[in-house]
Amino acid sequence: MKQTVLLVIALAVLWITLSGHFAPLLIAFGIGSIAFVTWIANRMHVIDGESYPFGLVARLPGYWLWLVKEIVKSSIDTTRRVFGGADAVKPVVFEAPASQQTDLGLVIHANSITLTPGTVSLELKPHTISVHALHPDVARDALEGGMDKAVPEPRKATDHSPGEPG
Amino acid sequence: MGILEIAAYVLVFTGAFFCLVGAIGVLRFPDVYSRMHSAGITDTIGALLILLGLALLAGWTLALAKLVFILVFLWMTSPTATHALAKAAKHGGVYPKLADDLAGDVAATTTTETPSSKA
Amino acid sequence: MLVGAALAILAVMGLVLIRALKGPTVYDRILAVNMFGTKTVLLLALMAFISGRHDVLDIALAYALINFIGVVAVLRFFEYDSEEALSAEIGEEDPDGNS
Repeated sequence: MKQTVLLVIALAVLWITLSGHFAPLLIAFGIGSIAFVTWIANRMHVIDGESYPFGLVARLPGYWLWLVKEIVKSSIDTTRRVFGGADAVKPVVFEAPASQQTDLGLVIHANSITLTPGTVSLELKPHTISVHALHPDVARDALEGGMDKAVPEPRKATDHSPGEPG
Repeated sequence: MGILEIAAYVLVFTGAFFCLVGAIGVLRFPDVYSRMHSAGITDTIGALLILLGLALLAGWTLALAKLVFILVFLWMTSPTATHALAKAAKHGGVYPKLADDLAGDVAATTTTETPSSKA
Repeated sequence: MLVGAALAILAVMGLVLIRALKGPTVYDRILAVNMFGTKTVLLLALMAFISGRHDVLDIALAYALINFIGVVAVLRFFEYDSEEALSAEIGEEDPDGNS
């Protein structure tokens, strides 16, 4: 029930931000759309902590700042490789450790790897992500970058490996 | 011209520069997988800087919220599309060219395609 | 001023079209078309500010979503294009010699 209320609030905020009009007719359309979407989501049984991870929202801004910093760094590096000679591009495939317990955490991790220029995640395997990197140096930087630790994860995770704070 | 406006134009033009770099990379890099990195530059930092610059021009209006939405949608969809592409390419039998078997290849690419990248 | 940036984005779209025409694989073309789409979104956002009509941003937003869905749909179509890949997928996991 709590998830449904949060979904309705999020949809209402989205509608108001995108429309910006308060005429009765448009507000009525908005209420109709929100009711329709909530009904469909309910019918599909996708209203749960995983589909709408509102618990994660508080930790996202900090993570995004960190991610933007990484993206800027690796973009500049990749730019150099675009204009570099034959040595600049030596693609490698490596396995990056992924300690995330939930699907959502893994998806955020894999997508973050792809968002950072120079690395593209190819395949999710148990406990690792197969990553294509532009150069062995890029792969080394990515492994030392500590992305695995930085990825936010919904608190649903059942068991953490020892020595890793929740 | 206020300082905010100057900052906005600097951001937009830096973003456009990174987009050009990404496009040149897409032309120069040797295979699909390495081209994805180059496309990634335009999708991430290019979009970020251009939209950030426009956000400075927009000020505190609804346009700002829409720019933020565009950025969030782009950043959520672009890695998903890239991953789908990588998966499809792998299933389609196109495997990444790795450093070892690329030694001759890169030299060939850079010599034949340098004119287009200098243009 | 912003017109200059819009022209740069147009140049990017032109360069990307070269890749779309050259291929060589269908995935190169899809990559190029996807990039063309995201650049269209950026161009629309710039156009909104050049013309001063901020409603154009709504079109950019809708285009971002449609472009994504279009690319994923095309990729689903090409994913099992070759029968060899399909049988490899059904029979056994693809050869790990590449990784």
